[in-house]
Amino acid sequence: MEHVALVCHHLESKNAAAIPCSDSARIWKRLCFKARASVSIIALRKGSEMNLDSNEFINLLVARDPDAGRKVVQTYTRQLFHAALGIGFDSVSSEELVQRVWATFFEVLPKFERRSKLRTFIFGILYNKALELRREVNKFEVFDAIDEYMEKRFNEDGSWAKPPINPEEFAEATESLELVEKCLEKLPVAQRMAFQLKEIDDQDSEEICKILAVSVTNLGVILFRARNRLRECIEDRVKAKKAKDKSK
Amino acid sequence: MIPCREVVQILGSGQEASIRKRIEMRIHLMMCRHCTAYFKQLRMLKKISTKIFSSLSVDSSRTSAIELEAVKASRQKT
Repeated sequence: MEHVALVCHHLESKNAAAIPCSDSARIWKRLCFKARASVSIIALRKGSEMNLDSNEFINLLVARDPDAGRKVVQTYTRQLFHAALGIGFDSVSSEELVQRVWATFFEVLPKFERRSKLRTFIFGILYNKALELRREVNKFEVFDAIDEYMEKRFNEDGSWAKPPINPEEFAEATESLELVEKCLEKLPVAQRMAFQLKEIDDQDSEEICKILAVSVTNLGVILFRARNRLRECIEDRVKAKKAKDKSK
Repeated sequence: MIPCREVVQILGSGQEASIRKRIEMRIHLMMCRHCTAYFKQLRMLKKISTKIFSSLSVDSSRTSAIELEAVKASRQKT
């Protein structure tokens, strides 16, 4: 089979349209498909590196090949679990969440359109399941209080009315992981997920948009809200502490 | 001159800006300490949240339990 696959590759690179009869072309195509699949299986069994976004791999996955299934599960479970913790689920809920992700993944796999990367598809499911577990709606909110809040920090001419606090004080506050964690907890799932994928994973905006199912412009708005909600929360805590120290 | 509100808008959303806008922003940041403070805050947020994320411990016994279940699910034909 490996040889057949090689011949296929060779012929296709030399433009296989040369095969005259359409029937034999079809048979040839099928043969090539089978040969490729079995070569992929051999590669998988050998444990060698395989591109999880390749058509061959996805075909195996859809065909319920046990090795392909195991491979994808082993590749992404840790990442998913880590991401679930990152968006604020405790380890018990994270376990439940990731389990739901896999159950759904294998259910909807035949409908996977291959227009995005496999990882993006899986993280999209994680996002939707996270919303479900939190009972939040996957809807881009037109109104968010933070927008108004930020608007009030500026004068009409666009200059700062209430400027940011001094960077040293801010830096000091962020030394407390606990304080920042508390502020992170106040973010809705969409904002937290977007922030995490962008700032921590350094993902491409295009992939993040697909995961959250929003436009690039809306992603910008979501990130704006996430970052500002976080910094406002930290600033508030610094100010509150200062007021408390003063009253002592 | 680009106003502070717009600088904050671009920095906060991470939206793409034209080369001209980016140059204007640079100049603005050199002169405006408030916007510089804002910029520093965003950088600190990135740093601290990355630190928090990497400090989260992934429990291997939990992930292997999930993997076991998931591999089972992968074999069930729908």
